[in-house]
This record gives sequence, structure tokens and C-alpha cells, in this order.
Amino acid sequence: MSKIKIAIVDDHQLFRDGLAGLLLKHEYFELLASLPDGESLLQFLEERESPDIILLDLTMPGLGGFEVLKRLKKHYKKIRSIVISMHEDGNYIVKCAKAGAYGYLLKNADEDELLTAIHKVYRGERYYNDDISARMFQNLSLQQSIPEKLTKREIEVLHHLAEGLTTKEMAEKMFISTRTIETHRANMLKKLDVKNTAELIKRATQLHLLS
Amino acid sequence: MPRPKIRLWMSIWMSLLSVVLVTVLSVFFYRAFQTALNERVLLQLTSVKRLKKVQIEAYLNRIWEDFTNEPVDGPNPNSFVIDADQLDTLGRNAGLAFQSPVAGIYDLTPYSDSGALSLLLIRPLDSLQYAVRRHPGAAIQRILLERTGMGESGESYLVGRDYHLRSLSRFFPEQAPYSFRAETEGVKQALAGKQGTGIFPDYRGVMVYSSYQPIQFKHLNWVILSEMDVEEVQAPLLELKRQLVAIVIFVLLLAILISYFMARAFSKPILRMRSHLHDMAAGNYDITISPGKGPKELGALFTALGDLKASIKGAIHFSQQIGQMELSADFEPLGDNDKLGHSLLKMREQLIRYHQLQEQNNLANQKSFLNGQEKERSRLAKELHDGLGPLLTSLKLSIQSTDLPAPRKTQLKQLLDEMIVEVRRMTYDLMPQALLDFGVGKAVVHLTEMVRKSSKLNVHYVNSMKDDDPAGLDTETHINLFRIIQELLNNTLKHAQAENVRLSLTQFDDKVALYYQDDGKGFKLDEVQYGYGLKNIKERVKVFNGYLSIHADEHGTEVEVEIPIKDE
Repeated sequence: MSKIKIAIVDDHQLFRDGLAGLLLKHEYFELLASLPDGESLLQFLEERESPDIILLDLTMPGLGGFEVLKRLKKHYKKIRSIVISMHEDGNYIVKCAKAGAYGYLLKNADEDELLTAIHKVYRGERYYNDDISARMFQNLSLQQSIPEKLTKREIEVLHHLAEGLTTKEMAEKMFISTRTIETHRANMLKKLDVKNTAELIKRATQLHLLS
Repeated sequence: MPRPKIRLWMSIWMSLLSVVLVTVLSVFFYRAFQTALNERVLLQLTSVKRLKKVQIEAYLNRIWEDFTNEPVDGPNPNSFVIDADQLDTLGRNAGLAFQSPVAGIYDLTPYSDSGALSLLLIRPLDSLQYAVRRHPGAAIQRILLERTGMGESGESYLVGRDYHLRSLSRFFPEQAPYSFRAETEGVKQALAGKQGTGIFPDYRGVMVYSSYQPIQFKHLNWVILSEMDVEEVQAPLLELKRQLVAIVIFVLLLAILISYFMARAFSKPILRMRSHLHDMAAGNYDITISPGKGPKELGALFTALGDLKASIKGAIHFSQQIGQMELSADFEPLGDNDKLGHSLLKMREQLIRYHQLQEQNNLANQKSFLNGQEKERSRLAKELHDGLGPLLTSLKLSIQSTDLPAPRKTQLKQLLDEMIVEVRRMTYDLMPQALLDFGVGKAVVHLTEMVRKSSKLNVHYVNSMKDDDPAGLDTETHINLFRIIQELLNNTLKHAQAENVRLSLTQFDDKVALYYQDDGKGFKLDEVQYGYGLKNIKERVKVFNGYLSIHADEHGTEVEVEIPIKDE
């Protein structure tokens, strides 16, 4: 079995060394490179051989982690990267996943987790931190596409209007203030170029916005 | 001398004026009446006198004719013939000085025993003999006693050269005429040959109107007088005088009365105006000024005063409002000449400008303070994240690579993990990196996640931010909204004992709306324990020129925030 070729990209020497030390305890890892930033990684990839896995930090001077992920997705599709970050915010996971990362680990991840993640990603699976992976999907579900003209919330208000709910009832249902409901409604009137709620419903029906 | 009150002053002058007027008129009228009366009476007396004189002269003429035509030895017992010697004797006895020619009529009254008028007629028959006749004066007396048009006291009488009366006094008909002596003004004048009229005392010493004239007829030398008592003549004059005095008194009383009421009508509004002006001078403008019931001009005066009061009051009210910094108060100056009104308006404008400037300065200060604070937090977070974070994680890696007994290793790792989590928490509290990288809408997702994890609070969050389109919404606004939400969640966690929180962020073209609601026990807006958090929220909303509404009762707390998006 061939060794898993790994590159570490992090602007902190100490961290890189620590990580390298940990990995090198296991003989099936081969550390190809330990690099301080994105530029030197790209340069390395261009000049030297490609690693199987890149352990990538997000916040780095110069070319940051996200930028590196985009470049990899475009030019080095075979290289799988695992983001190792201090941020536990799910937004980062979502963004990384979108940018093409196969895994997301917190920097203080235990050795076992680190190894699991590397193995899984090497096999082609994805690995995200347990805590945060659940959130990721929740967040993703919030990122639904929004109709061209009306926002998702406006459509909601439209439906409630059609159901005959009062502004107050809508506000309670939608966790927004009556003022905001009024703003939504006013915005819809503007967008659909109608003068009142009755016309709004009629126009919305014509446009199949209520179906 | 104290100034008289207007009422007294007007009364006095008006009374004086009317009394003087009436008195002068009365006197003139009285005088004119008196003169006319005098003339009329004297004229009447003169005509009566003239008639009597003519009648007497006619009578004398007739008896003289009879006497001369009658035969000497006729039947008349009073006629007889005497010779020259007898005549002399007769003349001596009767005290008569016969003049030449002897023929004529002589007055015998002084020698008559009765004192009544008696005449002696003499004519010569030849050189030695004379026809003589005594003739009684009764007929003449009758003529004189005929008193038509002579009133109560009028009389006509004859006086001889010796000033003794020749005819009866109608006042004393029992007494002999000759016993009265009338040496009066008229008699004297007439004896001097003059005729005329006058007012003087008569033989009784009583003032009379008199017309006098001498009568000379064949040796008779009399004075005829027609007279009337002044008292009787002037009786109507007296009556008139009394009436005039009564009129004067009546007019005086009337004048006093009218002037009193008129003065009251004038002085009352004037006193009222004085009291109004007094009030206003003392600074009391809460008075009602009515036009009153007086004359039109005074009513207009009060209306003008009312207008003045209203405008001063308006200015005072306005300056009060300005004084209390109620700068939205409005004021309409009376016109271009209303210096006070214009100065007040100018003052208000200055104050508004000053106020706005101050407000702007305050806001700018607060904003720069907030920004500075956030910047500092951001810097600290970065220090922690970039400095301490990697060190700790490196340390952990080193420990994991080191040959240490397993329990010891685990212990150290645990310790380090705690440290790292702690640093991460501190970093997050200071400034979540995700907020800067993803915006408030997404950053709040994580925030609510952490709240859910660390407490029993159930947070429902709807993110309607346009996170893909961060343009127009600057970092400061993101941070601001995030801090407000942090503060709200803190309040709920600390004080509300709520189970659910509903939270939404909605981005519009021109604003971001934040809606927050918990089902806790609410609070009273003025309670101290919430003061700090709410104050922070208020300040942040204000600094960002936003809208804030907080509603709290026993069913929970509801907060609405709107932050405008700058159009740049």
C-alpha cells in the first residue's frame, strides 16, 4: 500500500511542526511539504508532485484558505483538502464545503479524529466535525433559492394575505414585527406595480406565485 | 392737590357748563322780557294819560263855552255877578292871584272845605262887573277814575303846582285829595314843562311806572299822571324769575345726573383698561378682555388691547416653549414690525441649529466611540486568535507527539482543550470572525446555536438578510446589529425566564429590520436591572439613526429595530 502523501499549509511554523510530528509517527503518511501560505503551495504544486491530501488553514497572510480551495477545485481536482481552522462557526464549514473542501476540522482536534478524517477523505468520503456537521445541513437548507422577483419572505406574506390573516397574525407566525409585514407588503406592491392588497393577490394569482 | 377722579372731574365741568349756559340764557331772556314789559306798560300808561288829558281838556272847554254863552242871571245857582272889588276880595280869600286877562278858569281846590276838586270860572261882563261860577270837579274826577286797562293798581290823577293832589287817590278814596302831597320825579318834570315816563316812587312812596304831562288850560296849571305799581307790573316778571331759577336748578340736577352716568360710562371702561394694563404690567396675561358694552371706539380699544395681549401671550408662550427646548413649537409673527416675534423665531432657529449640531456631535462621538470600541475588540480578538491560538494548538500537537504516559497525556490534552475553547470563546465574544466574513445574518445562526447549546432557551431564527449582496451594508452596521441581538439574548437569558425566543432579520432595499420576541416575564421599562442593556441598545439604534420600539408585559418582551442602509 502506497503512502498517503500529505501537504500542510499553515502560517504558523510551530503548528506545522506539531502536526508533522504527529503524522510522522505513522509510517503510512508521507509529508510532501510544509508550507506557510497559499502562494508557496501553488508554486509547489506547479513545480513538484501533487499530494493526496492538503491540510489547509483558512486564515493566512496573502492567499487565504478559501482562495486556495477555489484554485484547487479549478486546477487540481484530484487533490483533496481538509480545512483545519480555529473557527467553529458552521458558516465556515458551509463555505468550505461549497468551495470544495472534503473535510473540516478544528485546530484542537484530537489525534484520533485527525487520523479518521484523513483516512475517510483519502477514501473519497467527506468528514466534518461531528458537532458542526449537523449545523451545516441546517444552514444549507436555509440557503434555498429565492424567486426572482419576490423574496422568500414576501412570498410567505403573500400566502398569508391570500389566507386572510391579519397583519398581527402574520407577524406572530413569521417572527417579524407588524411594521416589517407592512414593509414587505409595500415592497410587493411596488415590485408588482399594483395599488392595493386586492390587486396584489389578483396579480400574484396571474403570475402563479401562489400555487 | 390730588388729581380729581375722572368721574368727579367730568361731572363738575359738565354741570358748570350747563348751569352757566342756562343762567346766561335766562338772564338775557329775563332782561329782554323786562325791557319789553317796561316799554309796553309805559306806552300804555302814556296813551291812557293822553286820553284822559284830551277828555279833561274837552270837558273844560265845554264848561267854559257853557259859561260864556249862558246869560248872567240864568238859573244856575252857582253863577253870580260880582264887581271888581268883590273880585279882589274873593281873590284874597281864595289866595288867587288873578292874572290878566282875568277871564279864565281857576283852581279852587286848596280852598274847598272838602278838599275835593273845585273850579272857579270868571269872565268880565264890563269894566266893573264879572260873571263868576263855581264848578265842581266831579266830572273830571269821573274821567280820571275811569280805569279801563289799568289793572289792579293803575290810576290817573291830577297834581297842582303846589304838589298837592287835585283828584282822588284810588287807594284812599275817603280822604281829601288835597291832603296828599306828591312831590315826585314826574310831577317835578311836568311842572318844568316836560312830558315823559319813568319809574319812581309816587306820593305813597311806592315804586310805580309813571307817565306824566302838564295840562295848562286858561290859568289852570296841572300835571296829569297815569301810574301803575311796579309790583303789579312786575308780577309776571317775578313769576318768570322763579320759573327760570327752577329751570336752572332742574338743569343743574339733570346735568349732574347725566354727567355722572356719562362719566361712569367713560370712566368704567377706562378703569377696566387700567386694571388690565396693571395686570399685564405685572406679567399676568391670563386675563380675559371683552369689548364691553360701551361706545364703539372704546370697544375697539379693548379689542386692540385684547389683540396686544394675545400677541404678547403668544410670544411668551413661544419663548417658554423655546426655553424648555420644545423646538418644534411654531409661532407666527404679527408682521414685519414684530421685532420680538422675529427675534424669537431667529432664536429658535439658532437653537435648532445649535441643537442639531450638538446632536450630530453627540452621535458622531458616540459612533466613533462605539467604532473605536469595536475596533479595539477586533484587535484583541485577532491577537488572541492569531497569537495565542496557534501556540496552544501547536502545544497540543506537540503533547500528542510526545512520549508520555497515556493518562498524563490525556489530562494535559484535556487541559489544553479547555484553554483553547476558552480562548475561542473569548475571541468570539470580543469579535466573531464569522461576523466579519459572513455578515450578521449568518453570524447570528451560530450565535443562536451557541445559545441553544448552552441553555434551555429555544431560539427560532429566520434569516432574511441578503448575505450574498453585502453591498450597502457596512461592517459597522453588521457589528451593530449583532451586538444588539447579543444584548437582547443576554437580557432574556439573565432576566426573562423565557422558553422561546423568536428572532428575525430582514433586509430591505433601504433598511434592515430586526424583530425579537421572547415569552418571558417581561419587565418594566424603568427597572434598573435592565437599564444597562437597554440603554446600550437604545444608544446603538440612535447612533445608527434607526427606529426602536420596545414593548414588554407579563407575556414577554417584543423589540423592533430598524437600521437604515446608507445609499452611497
